[in-house]
Amino acid sequence: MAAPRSGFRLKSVADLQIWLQRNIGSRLSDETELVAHGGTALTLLGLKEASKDVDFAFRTKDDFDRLVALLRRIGYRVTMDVRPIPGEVLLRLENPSSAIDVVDLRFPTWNNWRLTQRVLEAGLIIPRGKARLVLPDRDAVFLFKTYPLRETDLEDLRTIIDLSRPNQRRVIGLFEEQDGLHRIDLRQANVSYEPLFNILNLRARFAGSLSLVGERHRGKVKQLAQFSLRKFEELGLLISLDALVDRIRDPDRIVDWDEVMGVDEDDLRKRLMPDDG
Amino acid sequence: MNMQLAAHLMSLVATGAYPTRELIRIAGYSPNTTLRYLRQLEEQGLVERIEARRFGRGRPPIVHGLTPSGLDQLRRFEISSFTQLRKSTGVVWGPRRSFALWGVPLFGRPDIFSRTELTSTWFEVVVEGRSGVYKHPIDGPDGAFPRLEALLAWAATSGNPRYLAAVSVLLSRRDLSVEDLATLACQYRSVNRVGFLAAIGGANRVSERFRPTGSSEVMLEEPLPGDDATAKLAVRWRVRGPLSQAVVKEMRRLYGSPP
Repeated sequence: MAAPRSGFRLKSVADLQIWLQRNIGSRLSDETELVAHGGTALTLLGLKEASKDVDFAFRTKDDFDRLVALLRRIGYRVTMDVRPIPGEVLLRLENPSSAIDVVDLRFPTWNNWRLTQRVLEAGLIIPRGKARLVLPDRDAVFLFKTYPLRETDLEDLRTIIDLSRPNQRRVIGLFEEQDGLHRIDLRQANVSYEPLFNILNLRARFAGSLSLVGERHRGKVKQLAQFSLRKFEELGLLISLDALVDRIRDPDRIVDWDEVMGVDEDDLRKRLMPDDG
Repeated sequence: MNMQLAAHLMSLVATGAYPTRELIRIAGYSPNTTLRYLRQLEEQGLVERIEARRFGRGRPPIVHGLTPSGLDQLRRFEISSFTQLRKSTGVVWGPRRSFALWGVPLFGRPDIFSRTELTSTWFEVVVEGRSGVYKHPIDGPDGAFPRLEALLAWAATSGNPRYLAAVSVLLSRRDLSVEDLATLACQYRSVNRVGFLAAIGGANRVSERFRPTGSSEVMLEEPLPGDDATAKLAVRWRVRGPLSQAVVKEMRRLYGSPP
């Protein structure tokens, strides 16, 4: 019969809050804003269990750099440094001896989403020493969960729909804003990534998530599901949503967006570019 | 002071950053009672008031947090509450708390396995009528936990992607009794799901011992498109709605390889 390891126990929001106060907030030299994301935000909202990694995003590079420097100083080691999407940094820092042993930090976006005033306006700022923990509201967390298309994230979406149904109008408003920001980027000639691909990704993943949560849950957020489908169909791609989601979810394939578009790229770009007015 | 009520409030404070109004709503006591207890807990240094702020308009809300001594006190409450329940109803710690014991700690509320619905407890209750998780429990310092083999055989039926991925990680433990697991997987009708999770996570000792049964098993209710490797294994193990390899890999990266 297997024998348990010693020293492991269930983690709680209290562990996170105490860690933020004792280990982070009391050691920071300047006020630093950390925005809770993903499973961490869901846990803080009291909605769902989450894996042990704690997710934070940042609005400024200074805040990001300050937290990375502090974590290194108190014994955390970088174990992952990747660019999940062009222009986005994801750093994982680990310290096995800490109650909060895995911290994931992202800057300047989180899975392509940007931390705008509108996203944060319904959120809470919880001071912990010099750390300012920002907890976005349920609707922002719901929208941000519509990107990864993993089973765990889809299950989280279902839980939010069951326990605390999102305000569909607000989620639509937030999506329109994020989509609009990427469309504004289409005007810029010198961006280091292709904004068109970001728009395709955002719309496909949004519609895909609301399709994959299943009929019963989709029926509870009908307005949102219909809106997401409309945004995808507006793209006029030759590939179906199901087929595209299939490709995005396959870890062994790199999505060739040029091939996916299958339409005149310039025409699509013109259609998506916002009017000057 | 009613200690059960105080413990319940502390457990809520420990599991979410709720503004006071929200805390009153989910606690289910009258606002006066909740506020009075919170004040007393603050006076005892177990709970602290945090003046939060909003980006938008509106009165700044108060959020409550446990102090380090409050968290210690809550853990003692949890153990004594659990011990009483164990004596009266035979409960064991639930899946979330048990996964932590076995090396896959999650964030979340403490939970218990119970044979019947329990209304008078603040633990999250997982009703499980079959005997597997209750038999030959592990007696830890915090109380009785299902033995690993029973937890894994049960969790393969849970339909919860995080639990399924945790199963896949823990199936590689070298001290796992594969024979015991096989017996329990038969009891829980999860042979194919356990076999699949072992195969996808590279737990060869288990996947080589297990053989797919004739009837197919549903792992996740909403089937998702998957990668080729997952699809092939799902066909071999007769599993519908399989967990994808990507989630298993991610869990393994996070929790490491078991001993």
